[in-house]
Amino acid sequence: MGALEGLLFGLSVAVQPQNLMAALAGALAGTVIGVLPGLGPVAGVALVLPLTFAFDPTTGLIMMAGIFYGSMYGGSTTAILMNIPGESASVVTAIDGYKLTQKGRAGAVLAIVAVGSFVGATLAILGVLFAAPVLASVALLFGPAEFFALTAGGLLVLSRISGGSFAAAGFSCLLGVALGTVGQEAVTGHNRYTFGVLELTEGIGLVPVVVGLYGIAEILSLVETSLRRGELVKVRFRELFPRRDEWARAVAPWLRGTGVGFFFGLIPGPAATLASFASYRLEQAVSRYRAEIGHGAIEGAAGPETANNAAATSALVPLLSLGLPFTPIGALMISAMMVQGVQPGPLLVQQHPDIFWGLIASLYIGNVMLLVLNLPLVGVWVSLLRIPVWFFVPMLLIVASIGAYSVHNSMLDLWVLAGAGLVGYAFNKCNIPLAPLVVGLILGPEVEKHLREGLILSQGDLLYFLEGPIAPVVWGAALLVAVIGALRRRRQPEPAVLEG
Amino acid sequence: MAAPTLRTGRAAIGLLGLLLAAAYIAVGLELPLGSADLPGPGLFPLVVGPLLALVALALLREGWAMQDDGTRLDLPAGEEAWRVVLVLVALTLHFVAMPWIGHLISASLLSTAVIRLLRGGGWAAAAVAGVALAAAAEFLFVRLLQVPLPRGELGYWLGM
Repeated sequence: MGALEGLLFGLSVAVQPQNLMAALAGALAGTVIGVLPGLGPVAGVALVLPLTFAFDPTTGLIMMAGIFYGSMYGGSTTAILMNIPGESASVVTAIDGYKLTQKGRAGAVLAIVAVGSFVGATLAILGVLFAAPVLASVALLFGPAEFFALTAGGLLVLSRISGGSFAAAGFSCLLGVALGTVGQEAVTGHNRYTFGVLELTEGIGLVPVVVGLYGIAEILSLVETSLRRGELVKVRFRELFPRRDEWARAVAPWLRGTGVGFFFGLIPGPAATLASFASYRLEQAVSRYRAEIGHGAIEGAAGPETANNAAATSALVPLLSLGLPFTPIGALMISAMMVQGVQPGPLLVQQHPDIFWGLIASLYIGNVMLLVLNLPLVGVWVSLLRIPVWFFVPMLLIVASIGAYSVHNSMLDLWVLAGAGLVGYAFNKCNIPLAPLVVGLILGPEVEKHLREGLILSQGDLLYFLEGPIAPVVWGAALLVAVIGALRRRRQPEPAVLEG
Repeated sequence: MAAPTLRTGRAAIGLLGLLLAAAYIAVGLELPLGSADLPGPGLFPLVVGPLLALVALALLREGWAMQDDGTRLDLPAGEEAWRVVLVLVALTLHFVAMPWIGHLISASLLSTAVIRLLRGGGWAAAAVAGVALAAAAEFLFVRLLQVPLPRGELGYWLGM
């Protein structure tokens, strides 16, 4: 199926009533999550992740993508109106966005950011449309050696997914890999690290770990801090129309932001956050109005918001074609697919074309929905900030526990949830990134599977893993990225942990 | 009492990691290793365990070698710390009680306790809000989304 044919097929899947409803519900729920300060998109998506399991895989993933986009959108709304970034990717948006609000241009900048997000995501979807199937078709040539290189090399590179020091990221990643070995071993049926607990034979569940690490840990942080409350801003519908000069000034940052964002989405790391910062720096360097940036310039909000949406979209290329999560949110999407019994990777486009193409098409539809629905409702979103912490903390605790329990109807998963919550809380305090742990838990069993398959096929010859043109290239690329990262770290202080 | 420094926190996690890795390797040694052409279930853990020990050691060393600039861990103190502890206790009790009294009652008690803790005020108002919240969750998940949740011994006894 070609890209255009695939898109048409995807649109036919995405416009089915249940999928349209899922995209709408996801976009609205995501916006609520994004607006609520203290609850980032990763934690928010983790908390509502189990809700998506009530639907079939396509519908569930479409809902999840809507939640993610909505949360990015909601985060920028509070950043612009109240100087409260709902998520890390909107931190730079707050600089100029809030200054514009103080100048009385809140409505205009919200509209420009919304259109920019739409432009960024739409152009990036076109990129995904063509790049993902090509990459997937190349990956179809892979055998155990290539897959081992991809997953083990991927672990090496992706342990740096959220920044932090090498030791901290490596520890988090290998802890995830070690947790992935718990349970009944797939080939021999031998129980490992189960200590006679029957429920452990199924292994450590991805969902309770993810919801605990991100969701419970973030709820505990919410409980300890009292939330900052700004003055709620009123934006009238007629104020949402930018002036002609504001539209004109936004076009170049939109296009530059799309390019920057698409590029960052293809690099392992917290793509949306890095892309927004990089776009802001780019605008500071090349914009005609660079002197105004930092003092309330349209470019300072339009570029970064476009970039973070483009990055979030292009990060789907490695996710859908190789099954590699280049971003923390990608790790959550892979968790959702695996719980739904869908194996992400090069075979996805052939085995589940409805999911592959339906998801891509629904991203487009989700963005249209966000554009059409969210701007007129901006007053409603801002008023959500009135919801008191005492109300949404117990609500989130209940949702998190139901989510963790419902996957296997297992009480053990609730204890895993609590344990993961404590680990997440402690790691956050010590600047140890969480995303590598999730990546380790996802990719660890894959690394083991391909290692064993390769050893059996080659009758124990380790050189088999370096045969052929692909595996050495993948290893070379992974080592190069790891070495460059290590050299950069020697010259710089410890990089901050960015989970967004 | 001042919070421990980031240096101490990092080193403590490194040390815990090292102990965990040692236990992981010790248990892994009891698993069948197999042979090079037919690897057993013990092979991969014996690759992962030492690597985990190595990075835990690196984390410990990193904490040890970290310049002590006095950066304290952002740990809650006083009332904030109590709030975190009490929420954790409430969540633990929720998990312990759920198989006995069922999700609806257990979640109602959890919500009531957390609302009372975070909002203050009277228990009665907290209980009304807590029960409403738990009932709404039950309606959404059990009735609408058909998620089976524990009814508990009490639930069966009451016919809920």
